[in-house]
Amino acid sequence: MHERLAELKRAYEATPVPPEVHAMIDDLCRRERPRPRLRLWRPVALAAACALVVFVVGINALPAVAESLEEVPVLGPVVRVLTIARYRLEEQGASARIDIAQITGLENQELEDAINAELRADGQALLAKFERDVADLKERFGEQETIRMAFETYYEVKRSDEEVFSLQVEYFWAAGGSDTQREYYNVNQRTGELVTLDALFAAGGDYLTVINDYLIAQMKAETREDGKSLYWVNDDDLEMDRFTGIEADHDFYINEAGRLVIAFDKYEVAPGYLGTPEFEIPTELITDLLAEDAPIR
Amino acid sequence: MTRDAFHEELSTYLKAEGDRIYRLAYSYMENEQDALDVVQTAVVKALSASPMRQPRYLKTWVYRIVVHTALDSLRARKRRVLSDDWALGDGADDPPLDAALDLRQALSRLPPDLRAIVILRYFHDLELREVAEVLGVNLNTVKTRLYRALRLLNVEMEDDHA
Repeated sequence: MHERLAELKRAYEATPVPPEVHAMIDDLCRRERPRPRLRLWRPVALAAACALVVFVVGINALPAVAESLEEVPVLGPVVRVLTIARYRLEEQGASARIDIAQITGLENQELEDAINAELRADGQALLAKFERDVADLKERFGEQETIRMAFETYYEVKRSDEEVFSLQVEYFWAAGGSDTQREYYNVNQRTGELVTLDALFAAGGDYLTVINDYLIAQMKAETREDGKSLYWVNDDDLEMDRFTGIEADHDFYINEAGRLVIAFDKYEVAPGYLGTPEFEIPTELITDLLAEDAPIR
Repeated sequence: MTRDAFHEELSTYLKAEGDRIYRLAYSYMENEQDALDVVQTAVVKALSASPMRQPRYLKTWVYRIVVHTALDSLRARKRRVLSDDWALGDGADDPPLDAALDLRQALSRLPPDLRAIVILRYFHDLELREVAEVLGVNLNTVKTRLYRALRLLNVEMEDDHA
């Protein structure tokens, strides 16, 4: 190797590494356990009553205020979303505004229980993460330092009628940067089943290619001043950034107009300032590929 | 590989490679606090990757996540700085560097895409095709950029970079 490069390498390797790097990585490896996702083909073992008891104990064990049932307004006729716990924590400038909601009124009780169990687990995981992070930061920076951190949840019913129930849950956290993760629960009210992208389309049709061609064309059409796309679909974007298409397990919902909407998390297809992009798919593009009972108009 | 087995393997790798991951993050961020933030975000991203995205090569995959996270963080920082009416270039339009300049400074003044190639190729000892994989560009682009980077660093061209 060239002497100048060897010299540079020595300088590079002399970059001091703060000792907390290792403690941090150890800690993250312990915490960030892989999270099992909702699996519908496996019956949910937890009985509703049992889950409720566990949950009440959980609330009481935490320094938080649990309020009684309160209805989230503007909802469809049958299915309701209830906030069963509200956590409002303020500590040294850090704030948590975490609600835990439950669904009632689905025809398919087993599916309702499964979704509710996941909503509880995810909300409580966010709350637990908030408390761990606050404790960590207090330990690192002391009791006086202001902690700039916010954790929030938002629930939004995208559609609720006799055909479809679509719920969007948003988990937001900010600490320096910010991140938003969304989960969607789409239920076909006619069949009582959770709707997956695959289930919306007739078997054998290549709906992903049709949707992906449309998404990429839309993304390429939104350009910056230099003529390149705002989204990561440019040839010189990093390959790992570059959006090449969704898979069958991608997030989506069905909106009031009955259209399929493909949703992306923050940073998934664009820089953070574009937030959480969504694309409504024109029904005429996919109409030939849809399954017969697909609740898409 | 099951999720748990993958988590185990990834944890072991991350714990062993902490120093290298931090230095790579630092090479982009150039300050300790931002580098630590990047390491934290990148490690969380890696650990929460969906099974569908499990990589074939752990090392280049983790490096890609670190580089991606650092770049996103730099973009955020640039926007913050610009909104405060600071005009701060990224070095891309600067004239070729004078040979008398301190080498480290010269390296840190390289545009990020050129600097990354020097760092990954010579300091992390990656093969050129691995560099291409980490940065998501093709091999020829890596070669061209490396050539430009070495020229800007006033390193005499030898054949060892190819």
